[in-house]
Parts: sequence; C-alpha cells; structure tokens
Amino acid sequence: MISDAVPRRISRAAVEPLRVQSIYRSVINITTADGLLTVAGEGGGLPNGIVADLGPDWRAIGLHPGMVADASDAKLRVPDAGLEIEFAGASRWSPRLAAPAELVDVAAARWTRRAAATRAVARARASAGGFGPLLREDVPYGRDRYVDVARPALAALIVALEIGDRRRAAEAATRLIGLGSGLTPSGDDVLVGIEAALHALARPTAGFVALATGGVEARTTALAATLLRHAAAGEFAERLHVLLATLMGSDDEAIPAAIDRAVAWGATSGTDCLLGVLIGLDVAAGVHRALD
Amino acid sequence: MSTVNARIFPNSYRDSVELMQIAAEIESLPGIDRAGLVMATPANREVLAAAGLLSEATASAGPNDLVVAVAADDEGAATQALERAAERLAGPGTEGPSETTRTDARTLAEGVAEIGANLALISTPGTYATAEALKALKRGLNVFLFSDNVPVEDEIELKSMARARGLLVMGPDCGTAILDGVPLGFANAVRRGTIGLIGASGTGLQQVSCLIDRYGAGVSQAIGVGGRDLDERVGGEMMLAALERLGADPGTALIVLISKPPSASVAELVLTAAGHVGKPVIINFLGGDPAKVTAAGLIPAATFEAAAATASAMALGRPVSSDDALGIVATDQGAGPAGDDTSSRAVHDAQASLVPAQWRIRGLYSGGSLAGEAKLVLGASLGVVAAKLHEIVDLGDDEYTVGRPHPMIDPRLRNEHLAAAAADPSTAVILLDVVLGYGANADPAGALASAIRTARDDAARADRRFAVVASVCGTSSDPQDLVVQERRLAEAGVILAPSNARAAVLAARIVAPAAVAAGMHP
Amino acid sequence: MNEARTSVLFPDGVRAVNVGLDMFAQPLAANGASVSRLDWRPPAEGDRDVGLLLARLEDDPSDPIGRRIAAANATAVERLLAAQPMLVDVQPARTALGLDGRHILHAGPPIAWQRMAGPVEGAIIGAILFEGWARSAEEASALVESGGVDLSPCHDHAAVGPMAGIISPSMPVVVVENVAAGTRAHATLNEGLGKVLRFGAYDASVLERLRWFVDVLGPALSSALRHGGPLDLRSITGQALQMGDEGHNRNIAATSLFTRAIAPALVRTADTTVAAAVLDFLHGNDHFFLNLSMAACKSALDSAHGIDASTVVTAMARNGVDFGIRLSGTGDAWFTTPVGVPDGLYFPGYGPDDANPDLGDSAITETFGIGGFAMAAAPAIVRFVGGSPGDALEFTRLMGRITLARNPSYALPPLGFVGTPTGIDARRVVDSGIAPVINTGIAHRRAGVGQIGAGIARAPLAVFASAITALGGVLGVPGSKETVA
Repeated sequence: MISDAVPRRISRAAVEPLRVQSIYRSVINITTADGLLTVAGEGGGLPNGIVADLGPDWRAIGLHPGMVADASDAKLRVPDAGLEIEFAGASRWSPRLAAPAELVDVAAARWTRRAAATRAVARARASAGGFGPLLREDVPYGRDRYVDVARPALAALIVALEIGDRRRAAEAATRLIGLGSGLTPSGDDVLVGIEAALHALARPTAGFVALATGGVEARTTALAATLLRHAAAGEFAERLHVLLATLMGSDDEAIPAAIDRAVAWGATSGTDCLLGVLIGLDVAAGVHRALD
Repeated sequence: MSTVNARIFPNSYRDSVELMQIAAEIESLPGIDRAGLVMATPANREVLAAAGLLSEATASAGPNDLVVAVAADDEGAATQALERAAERLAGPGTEGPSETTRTDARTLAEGVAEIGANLALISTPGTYATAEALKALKRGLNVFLFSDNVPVEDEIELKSMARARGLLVMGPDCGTAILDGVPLGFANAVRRGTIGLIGASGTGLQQVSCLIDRYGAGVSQAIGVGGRDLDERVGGEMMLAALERLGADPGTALIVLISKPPSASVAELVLTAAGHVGKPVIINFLGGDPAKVTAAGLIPAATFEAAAATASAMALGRPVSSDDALGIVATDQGAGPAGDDTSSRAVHDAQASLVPAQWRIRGLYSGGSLAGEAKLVLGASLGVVAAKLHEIVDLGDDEYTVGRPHPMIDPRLRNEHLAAAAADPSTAVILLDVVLGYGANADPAGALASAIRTARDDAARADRRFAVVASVCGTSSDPQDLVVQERRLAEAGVILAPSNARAAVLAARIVAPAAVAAGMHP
Repeated sequence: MNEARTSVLFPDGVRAVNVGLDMFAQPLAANGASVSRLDWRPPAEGDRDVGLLLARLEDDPSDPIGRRIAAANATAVERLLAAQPMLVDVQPARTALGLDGRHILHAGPPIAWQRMAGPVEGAIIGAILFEGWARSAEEASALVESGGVDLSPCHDHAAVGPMAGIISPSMPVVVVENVAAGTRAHATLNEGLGKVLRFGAYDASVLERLRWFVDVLGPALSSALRHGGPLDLRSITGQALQMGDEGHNRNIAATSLFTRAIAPALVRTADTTVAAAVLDFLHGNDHFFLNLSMAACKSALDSAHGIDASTVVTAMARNGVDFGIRLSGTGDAWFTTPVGVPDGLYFPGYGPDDANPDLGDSAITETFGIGGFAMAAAPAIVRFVGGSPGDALEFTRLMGRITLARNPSYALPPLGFVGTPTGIDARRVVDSGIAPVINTGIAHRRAGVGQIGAGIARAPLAVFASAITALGGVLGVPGSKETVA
C-alpha cells in the first residue's frame, strides 16, 4: 500500500540521490531531498510511506545505513542489497484527513457529549511515559523535566487555538518541537495529534504547524520533521484516520478499544498523539479544559 | 560527589520501545542517580542542560543523534553505565520482553479449573477485590487478600462467610503470610518449625519471623489477618479463627499474636480464646498492658524481639534471659546483651563524632509497625515526653506514597528523605529499617549504602558527621541474603543491630548525653 | 519441647490462583507451590456493582441462590443437548403462526417503524405490496405510518428470520418441531442471493418469487414432507459440520444433504415440471438450509427458555439498529443496545460507509453453538470474513470458555471431535469479557442493494451485563437493583 504523497517525494529525488537512513525490525527509512520515505511492515499506512512485507526481521536483509537507493514510478530499489519493491500491484490510499462537511457538526456535537468520558478512559489506559501525565489535571511540577517544559507551552497553544490566532499557536508549537523522548519526540507527536483533530473538524486553525516548520529539520529528528510537515498539509497515518473516525463515530462502545490500540503505537508515541487528539478535539468542539 | 557523563550515539537504530527499556535498565544500575536517553534536539538539550546533564561530550550532538546522559556517584559507575548503554544499542536488539509463562485464563473460575486451586491471592484494586474474594470463597478457596480500600462491610461479610465454610480470609490489607512454608506477599524465607504466628501487621510478622529464624527456631504457619481485623466492627474474626486452627494443629507447639492493642472488648475476646487454646500463647500487642495478658494466663511481649526471643527459647527448650526489658536469647552467634563490647564501642565512637548542636534521632522507616515499635522503645528508653521530640516517620504511609512506589520496593523516596535528614544540622542519628524478602527491592542495602555515602560526603564538607543505625529484617535464605545485605551496610559505616528494637535502643544511647546537654531531655 | 509433625494446612500442597499483580506469583513457584497467573481484568468492563452481583450469582452448593442457578442451568443444558429438531411441514404463516389481520413480523428485538433501518423498511413495504394491502410503495409507507399494520418481532411468534426477517401472513414458513420437548419454531423459505426481500428489495422480480413460493415451492415441499416423513435436521447439521459448513454463513453442504433427502419424496408427489423447478431452485441456492438451521436452533433454545434462575442465553438477535438478547431466567424481556457495523471483508467497490449495522435473527445459530461458534468446522470461511484459518479454530476454543457444555451431536473433527460449545452462560461472558462471536453477512444500508460483504461481529458486552442485573433483581440478590428491560 502506498501513500499518494510518495510519488511527490520520489520525483524530487532527481535532485539528490536517495539513501538508506535507518533499519529497524519492520521499518526502513530512506532520506530524500524532500524528507523521509518510510517503508513499514505493520501499523497501517503512513503519510510518507509504503507498507510492504519484507520478512520477519528487516535487519537481516543486508541493508546498511548510507546505501544508495533509487526510485521511479514503478519501483523502489536498493541495488547493493538486492532489494526491490514493485509498486505495480500496490493499492493507493490518500493520507489526507478531511471529514465530509455534513458530518462535521454532528461529530462536534458528539464529541461534546463524550469528551469527559473518553478522557477518563484515556487517562486510565495511557502510558505513564512521554507526556501521558498531562492527561491528568493534577500533575505536580518536578516529576519530569520534559513535562514541566511542555505544560506552559501547551497551555499557550490551547489559548491561541481557541482564539483562532495561528501565528501565536505556531509560536507555542515551536517550544514543543523536538521536546521529549522517543524517535518522534513527544512534543511532535502531540502536535500531529492536534493537527489531525483540527483537520478532522475542518477548523480554520488547521495547518497552523506550517508556520512553525521552517527549518524544522534542524530542530527535531528526521522522521518527526517529515511527519510534522505532512500534518501541516493535512496528511496523517492511517491509524490516525481510524482513531478519529472512531472518536467521532456513532459507536460509543468502540472507543475504549480504539484508545487501547492507539496507546499501543510505539513506546509513548501513541499516548502523546492521543493527548494531542483529545486536546485538538476539545478545542475544535469548544470544550473548555484547563491544563494548569 | 556526583559525576555527570554523557555519550552520543549517532547511529543507534533502536525503536522507541527498546530505547525506553534501555533507559530503564541504565537507571537501575548501581551508583546511578539519574539517567536520560533522548534525541539531542535543541529543545531536549535545553532540558538536559537545566538538569546538569549536558557536558562537552554532548556539545556536538544533532537532532538525529541519541544522547545517553547519566549522573552517577562516581566516574566508575558513570562509565560502566555508558558502556552498558553502548552494548545494548550496538547489539542485535531484543524482540521485546520475554514471554511470561502466563495462562490464557482470565477469570478465577478458569484458574481454579486449571490447577484445582485451594488458595486465591488477590491484589486487584480494592473496588474489585470483594467480588473476587466472594467468588473464591464460594469455590472453597482460602483467600489471601492484599488489596486495601475494601469497605469494612465487605470485610465483615467475607469473614462471616469464611467462618461458615471453615476457610481463611487473610486481609483485606494483608501484606504477609507464610503458609506451609510458602511465603505469600511481602514475606521472608524462614526456617520451618513449631511456632505459629498470627498477625494484623505485615512488617510485624516479618520482623518476628526473621528473628525466630535468627535465633535458630522455626515457624509452622504465619497467618496474616489484615490490618483491620481487630477493629470493633470486625471483632477479631480472623484472629479467632486462626487461633482455633493453630490450636488444633499438631505441627504448632506455641502461638504468637501480633497486633497493635485492640479495643477492650476485642482484646477480651482474643485473650479469652487464647486462654482456651491449650498451648502457650505469647501476646505481642505493641504498646499494650502486660498486666491484662498475664491475668489471662498468657505471656506478654513488649517488642517484636521479645516475642521472637521468648517463643524461640520455648520452642528450643532454652532458658529465656531476663537481662533487660527486651529479652535476649543466648545463641551461638553471640548476640549478646545490648551492653556488649562491639555495640558499646560503636555508641562511644558515634558520640565522639557529634557536635553539640546535634541531638536528634531521625527515623526513616519503610515498615509501619517497625516505626511504631521504634517510637515505643524510644519512649521506654528516653521517657515518653523526650521521645516525642525525635522524628520517626513511616514512609510507607499514604501521604508519602501518592503516585510513588512503596519504599520497600523503590529506594528513591527514602533516599531523598535521608539526604534531607543528613543535611539538617540537628540530626545526630539516622535510624533505618531494611526489609528483605519476596516482594522487596532486590538490593535495599546497596541503594541505602550509596545514598548514605553521598550524604556523608556532603555533610563532611560542612565539617559534620552523623551516625546511621539500622537493623536488617531478613534471613540468609531470602533472595537478597541477610549476610550480604548486612555487610554492604557495615561497609558504609552503618551501625547494625540484630533487631529493630535493639537498633532503637542504640540510637537512644547515642543521643542521650547530647540531648540532656542540649536541654532537650531532663 | 515436643517432637511435633511438620505443620500442614494444605494436604494437597499450596495451589494458588493469582488474581492481580504478577509479583505475587513469583515466590510460589520458587517455593514449590503451583500457581495459575490469571490474565485478569475487571469483570463487567469495570462496573463494580455488576461485578459484585456476578460473584453472588456463582454456582454454590452452600447458598440457596447459588444452588438454584446451578440446578436451573443444568436443566437448560440438558434440554439443549437433548433437542431433536425435525422438519415436519411447510405452511402459510397465517396458519402456522396464527398471524391474522395485518400483522408483519421482523427480525431482532422490538423497534418502532420510525427507527427502522433501510433494508427492513424496504422489506416491510415489499411484504405489504405482496399481501395486496397497498398498491404502491408510498401507499404502503403511509399505511404503516398511520398504524395500519402491526409490527412485532419474529421471536415473539415462535419464528426467526434472516436479515430483515420479514414474515407476512401469506408467506409459507417451514415448521420445525423439537420432538424431545414439543417446541415448534418457524422461518420463511430462503430466497437466495441477489435482489431479495430480506435485503429490502421489492421490485417485480422479488414479488414474483414470493408468489412462486406461495403457489409452488411451499405446497411442493409440504407434500413431500407429508409423504416422505419428517426430516432429521439435527442429523443433517451434524453431518454438514463435518463437511465444511458452520450453519450460518456456509450452508452448502447442509443444503445439498437436504436436497438429497427430500428429492425422492418430491419427485413422487409433484409433477415433473414442479419437481424440476423446485430442484433447480434448490440447486441454485447455496443458503437454502440457513432458514431451516435457524428454525432448528430456535426450537431447541425455546425448550431451554423460561427456566427460573437460569443464566443461559436463549436468543441473540439484531434489527439493524439494536442488538438484543434474551436470558432463560428473565422470560420475555429483551436486553438491548445500539449495534455497530461488523468488522469484515467487503466486496469490491464497497466499504464500511455503505454498510448497515448488524441485522437479522441468524445469530440464533451462534446462540445454539453453531455458526461462528463452530468456525473450527469451516476454516475456509476466513476467506470471506477475514482472519486466518488458525483464528477459526481459536474462536471455537474461545467460545468454549463462555459456554456450559459441548454438544456431542455436533462434533468438530479439527478439534478432535469435541462437540460445539453450547449453552452461553451470561455470567461467564460478563466475568471474562469474552463476547460471543458471530459470523455475519453485511448488508448495504440502502434497501434493496443486497449483501456487500461478510465479517465477524462480537456481541456487545453491555447487554449481558443488563441481563445479569435483571436476573439479580428477579432472584432478590442482596444489593442488586430492580431493573426491567
């Protein structure tokens, strides 16, 4: 399965060669002039990526960081490792997240009704790492330095989004970019979650992160930078599409399971992203929350 | 002196879950105070800098580089930790946590069917514990109920149902038991013998059982009844049931009851029942009136040590020494009276190291009952009024453990208090309990020793010294090994006592002259 | 002192079940005790009151309520396993069900016309046209809206219907008798795939087919049965389960066995043209046996229904909006909750946005232990509903944990000939959080489009908790709330 954004990325590769950046058990990242291209085995579609099956452990297929890769409309290759991924039979999907207009008001009303209960479930099931503690209202200062830095920044961001000030929101976002542990730092995951919610409810503030992504590659990891740029453009991982659809959907019963699935993404990425989604939905639906 | 060291790992391709596991492992290495494992983005570098974890070594790191930073006791520990991190990051990587041999069974019913169970160990949140205990009793299982926050009405119903069916409900809020030699909850590996213990206090049971082991005797059964069993409303239901059980048990020759003093009516019930058991019963109601006990034809014991010593002597057929109020057993290990040479010298040396401003005992306890016993012993040694001037704290109490692990499991809470106590210029003695056994931390002495050393160094810079007195509640068969733990503490200059009561006596002896001189004591 | 024997409280050794934190299990194994470490989670999705009620409803020889429940369930299970459904006749619904006047039955729990799903509305309109109570769809709609037609669940009239499940007085229904208990159940004749009434279609071809059922198929089958004698549906189902059917979504083996069984009598009692037409129809309809399967299951479950204090589930049904269950010990009460779209595989061009929420009485098959519960018999089904063949075996095993018995009449070769898991105990569902699995077709939400996929649905846990709560009230369990569905 391939994201519609991939060809865009590949066409700019003529400028500079593609290189293998990193290899994990079921993920390969390839740098391009336009950000990271990711090949992943599980977890659903990525806005910057290709879902493929390369075997049980991709660290064993002979790839090394730095190897040259090339790509065309038809395939992605790493010649030195004998790896070839054909696009011919692949299904396409669009990472663009936008809810149909007639559903937006219904979804906002639904969210208002279920926000408190959903947050309670998230609080109970979220990981304690990353920015998970911010799902509670009574977090004391001094427990985690990254959380302490994030709190005022998030508070400022929420205020800015509530009054519709994109520039101020982007300023607050800058304080969150690159902040926290993980290959995609917690702050970036939260921002992606917020953007996903804003796009899902078609708010005018959606895309505010675009004002903060100038030179973002110097301020956070390559993967996080790539995902932030996609988020600014309204493009998100498939699992975020599914999560938002469930949170705004008609079936209350499905929400706890959806939250469990979200929390299981990565180590803390899921919790951080979920925190962002809940914040974004609250802001978009006009539900007031105090962070401090 | 804390050393900060850090290393950049530019090409470490571990996913976030593995990074989290590596961070946890590094943080728990000996001598490591704090560790951070993050990508070196500008935002994270700021945080590291504010935490004092940034150094020259990390100056050149960029947002796609991983930084491992540690604050450790010394260079050696820091380097070791970074080496370990390097190893983990370079290796092929784990596939995740290893499979625990866990069953698919989700419900009690399924679990019972699987192994033909006769006992349920329940440690769910209190909200759900009653339902699980009911289900267990209905299936004929005895219940060890660790959970607390169980309403008293539920406890009454459970114990009444248990009585009707001849089953035991140990709890709620029961931390310790040893049944047929199998430790349950926070319990120690104790020699088997003929002494039966019944206790409403978990650490009380632990202390008594460990001392019995130290004195060469053994335990037949140690039955916990839960912290609220002797409350008026519950009426000592389980203690009475356990008394009956052990009274009829051919493997139990004598019984010890351990609790804080119950109300008059419950005390009467219990003492009467104990009187009818037909075996010697030692009553260790901490702070209770011995006269009532003797009047009931039973044997009073004022401290855990006295209870253990008396019981052990009786079980082994040896004379009970009445050298001092504590009661001592003469054993081959030469645990002599509190006035023996080794401890006298230690007391004298400690006193010599103090300056006049230092007079206070700061007790930092992980076991509530041990803290209670310490207060009692200090009251007996120094006088009740004077004893109150010293600060004995139970760090396992709710007010300290909100959002934090219990000090028996995680040393960090107590270490923080220890540093603060050592920094207080009025502190003369820091008094500690170190509890071993199943459920407790893997190396409590090591963690304490490290914190003590740091605190001593800090105090030394202000030209101050202080004494640390501790007792280790454990046995050499415990996973942590009593002998090893005592040695680690001794190497850190800790004055060791074989029991908590004795440790409190030592602390009192150390401060007595200084406190009098400072006008704190009469 | 004395040479005492070693003290022993547990002569068979300490054998513990660990409920909660894993750390408590450690010292046991290290000290020679056996331990079962539960994969525990709060029962009843964390509802403390329902969890406590569950505990008080446990089987317990020392407690009057515990004894009553155990005995009631034993009776229910006995009746389920003894059931012997036989196909005895085909008759007009008017006769067989006593349906008179303008009365239409639908699948699932009761629901008002205003709330009904697209396919059900369409099917009702079709039935009204078929009966001649109106001449156009608009007239038919108006008739219902003005209260001119009585609508009630099939279940309330000893009947079951797949998908929209519409039964009107003229329609021929199969008559299935559970000879062990004398209970009867009925269902319409299965129309096949494509444009059919049960998906809400009602154009001329649909109505024509229904007319053919009345004029030809119904009477032909009826004569054949009267001449050749009743057909043993238990035997057919048992064989079919060993031939790759599961009795809900795969019925081709059973349909073939049925056709083989009835063909001789059919040929002897009908003229050649009719016999040929009937055999042609059966040949082209792989799912003909589904309706028979459903009626057979209902006749068995009805014999186990209405037993005081029994926690056995005797019906699971959906009307396209709500999911409902019935419990043996709470009589006619339905316990319902809104139902979602099933998880599954869609035919090309369709997706979850097109799907109607789960629909039909066909979950009666799972209620009796076949269908999704017998997935081990039909691993091939995973190609249509999603999952792997291993999943198929696993689902049957999982269902074994929420049922009280195995039905030896329905043996499953892939699992060593153990019988199908039968007798869903609502207590076990709520305690374990394991929801019954249902193999289901997915209907398009617009009337008349038809089936757009197939999948595996899990019954919503909430209804089982409601049922248990109601039973607690009926039995007077201390602390339970008085509720009536």
